[in-house]
Amino acid sequence: MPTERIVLGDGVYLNLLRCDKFKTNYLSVDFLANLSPERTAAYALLPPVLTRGTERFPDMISLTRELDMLYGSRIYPSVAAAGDVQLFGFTSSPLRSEYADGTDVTGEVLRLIASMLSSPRSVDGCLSSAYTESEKKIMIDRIRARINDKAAYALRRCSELLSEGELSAIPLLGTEEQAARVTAPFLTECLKTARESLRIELYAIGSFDIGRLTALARELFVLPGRRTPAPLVTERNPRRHHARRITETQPITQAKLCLGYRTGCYPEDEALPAYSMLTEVLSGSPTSKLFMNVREKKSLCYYCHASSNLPKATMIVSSGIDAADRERAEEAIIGEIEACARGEITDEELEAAGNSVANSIRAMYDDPAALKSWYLGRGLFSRAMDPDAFLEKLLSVTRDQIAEAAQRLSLDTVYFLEGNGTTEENSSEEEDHLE
Amino acid sequence: MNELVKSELLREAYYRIRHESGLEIYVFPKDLAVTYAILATRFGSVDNRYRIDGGSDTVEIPDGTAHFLEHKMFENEDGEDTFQKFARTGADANAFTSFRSTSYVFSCTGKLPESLEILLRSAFSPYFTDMNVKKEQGIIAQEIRMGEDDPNDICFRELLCCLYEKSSLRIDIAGSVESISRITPRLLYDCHSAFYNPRNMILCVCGRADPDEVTEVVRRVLSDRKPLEVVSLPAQEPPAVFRPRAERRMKVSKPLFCIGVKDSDISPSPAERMKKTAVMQLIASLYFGKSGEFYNRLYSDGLISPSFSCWSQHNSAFSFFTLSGDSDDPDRVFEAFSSHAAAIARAPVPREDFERCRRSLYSRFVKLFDSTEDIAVSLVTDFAVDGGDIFAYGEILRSLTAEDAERVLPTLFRPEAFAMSVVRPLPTDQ
Repeated sequence: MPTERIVLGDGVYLNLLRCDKFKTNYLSVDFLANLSPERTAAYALLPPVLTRGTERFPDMISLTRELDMLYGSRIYPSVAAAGDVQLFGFTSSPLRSEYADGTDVTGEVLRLIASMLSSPRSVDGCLSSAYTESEKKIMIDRIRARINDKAAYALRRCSELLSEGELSAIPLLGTEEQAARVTAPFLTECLKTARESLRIELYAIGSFDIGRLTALARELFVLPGRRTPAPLVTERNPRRHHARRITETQPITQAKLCLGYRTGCYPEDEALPAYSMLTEVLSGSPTSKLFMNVREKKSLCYYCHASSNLPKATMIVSSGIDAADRERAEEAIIGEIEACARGEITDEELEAAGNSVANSIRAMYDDPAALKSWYLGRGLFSRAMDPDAFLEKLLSVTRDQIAEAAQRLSLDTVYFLEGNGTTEENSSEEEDHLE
Repeated sequence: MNELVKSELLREAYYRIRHESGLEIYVFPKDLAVTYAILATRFGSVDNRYRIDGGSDTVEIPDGTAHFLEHKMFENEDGEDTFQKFARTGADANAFTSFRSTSYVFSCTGKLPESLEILLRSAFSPYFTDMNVKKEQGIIAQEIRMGEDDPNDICFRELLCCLYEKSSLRIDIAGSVESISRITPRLLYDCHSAFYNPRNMILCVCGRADPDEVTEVVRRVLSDRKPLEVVSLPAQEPPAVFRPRAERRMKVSKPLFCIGVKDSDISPSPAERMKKTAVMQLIASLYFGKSGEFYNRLYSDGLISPSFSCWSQHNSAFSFFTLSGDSDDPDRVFEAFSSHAAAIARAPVPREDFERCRRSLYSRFVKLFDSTEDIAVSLVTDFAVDGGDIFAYGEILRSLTAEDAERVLPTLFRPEAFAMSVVRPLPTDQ
């Protein structure tokens, strides 16, 4: 899949991946900023407020009706983080003109996104406070609702503990207090900053007239007088704790155990393919060590998998267990990692890891959103290799190299979320502490 | 029988093949990286009574049996798990059980015949022992407990308990810790021979696949299978809702609600059911979607959030329409829904809005054809399982009229068919 990266203006990039096997194109616009206690909540709030209405389509009814007419297109607000960087903006998958009676839906959707940024619904130059307040309330509810999904909650708590004191410990939507402080005038100022001096990454994946799209993107996204964006930084912290233990309680029936590791392997590290294969051997497929041995053979947990934060060089093994099995589950998980460090990886496990990673990387070529995350996410921290080129490196990793990657792991934080045997919270103060 | 079915509209085509064993096969060629295969049996959580081949014996089975069987099908007599076998071909396999069917799936980027053979052999070679059944009881009990921690799941399940009195929709797909404790190897073998007979099953392969290649694998694995008729005998469900309201308290930050409408007007004709499915989807989008007055009024009043959703299920076994989300005041949402439903049930359908929503729905349907997984799963579980056809559904979406909706609205929105389930925060969190 040919890729092209075009500099449209100071810190504004258009990334093109051309292919004609889909009925839809993929479009995304992302603004990039370092996470910060002052602005993260506001930046997270911007896309949802801007998708509420523009000057021309002032409310959701008129905006959605316009999108319905654009062959059922939708524009989704997005927010994500990579390392200490927050990415916020919009995504859309407009129908290709061949399936839309010849209409250039992609161009129209890009114009609509641009109009959300350039002429949002405003009063006297200030973003609508009604929309700001209503989206803020929803965002605060989302922040509070983080507690509903216990597995994700435990994983996030462990991740916060691993990055304590760093920017990446700031939640993606900010804290409830940070969100509550955002006002419409402040949001208006954040929008101005975003358009004038944040890095902007546009992605277009599919089939289109490159010349026309490039000209349109330049016209829409490069403001006169744009300033060079400040460099994006991601702090790096080596090992800080020696298997410290944090236990919290909630009224749940299934306990969650998360083991937070420092991997010592950053995105530009030559050992990255070996580390990636290690996570694959551990939990990439249903024949991986954690699934096969901890879950299937020992029946110690319902789920057990490893997830990585590459820019922060951390890995968390999270599992759902019976509280009574805590020690045995922890021992079993650590045991599997130690086995990897000793090079105890069978030919079959290695082959299965290679097969499964090949399958998932090749599958990315069917998933434009995954391709975009690959190039954008990896490109922030090192030169983003094409997925199939990276796959070649993965498939040449040896058992010894995986063992070396496992030897570099150090257990930093063990987070345990257990039930308190009731259906009630043990104390409301505990809840404050949790948040 | 080997038939090529084309859709000029979508510029797509698939082969439909009826194998001599009775297996219904669909091969949908698509030039994408991933090839996706799904093997489904019409055996879901609602099928807990059945009869075989005109016999008179009715067999009753414990709740959660279909799901239990799904968990056990990847275990083999040679001691090697099916996942391990797939690991050698690199396919990514999974399985899932719904109300109406159990599906075994894999996706791959190569070695299709090898993976397909593993899938078929595994589904048609049951291996159950006292020991492996007992072990699974422990694993599934954990899964059931995990479901009990999920407030959205609980809210929806409670709604089904409001809507239905006799139907097994009341029971979690996984059953209960008690019901699965009654499952034995014998019972699993009986259910397997009844429901996992090829005549009750559908195979679809979408991607870089050739019909001859697929049928050759099927022939190798299923040459000695005889078709068998199995009849599911679900409990007779009265048309009225069982109870209008349910409430639970759980660890949630904000109340969750599920409003449901029970519908008993189900046609025996698959084509009619597809049409009604489309109408119900259209009603959801036209009257409860983001471009509608209802959603926007409640959203502006802070009564609902973007988590609000409205959808429906309509098939030969059951039909309901549901709205769910979170709200500080679910009762006001319910009142707003009731009066809105009463108004739209009587009023003419606005032609222009109808046309806009129809076009949007159709466009989104077209987008489904960008993914081999979406095509295969939808073709089988949304359509073939219920006797429907995915291309015919596209045609229906193209030709649906406001009059079609006007015929459904008054019978769908009857106040006596409404119910609501609410999950509220624990008292200490308020």
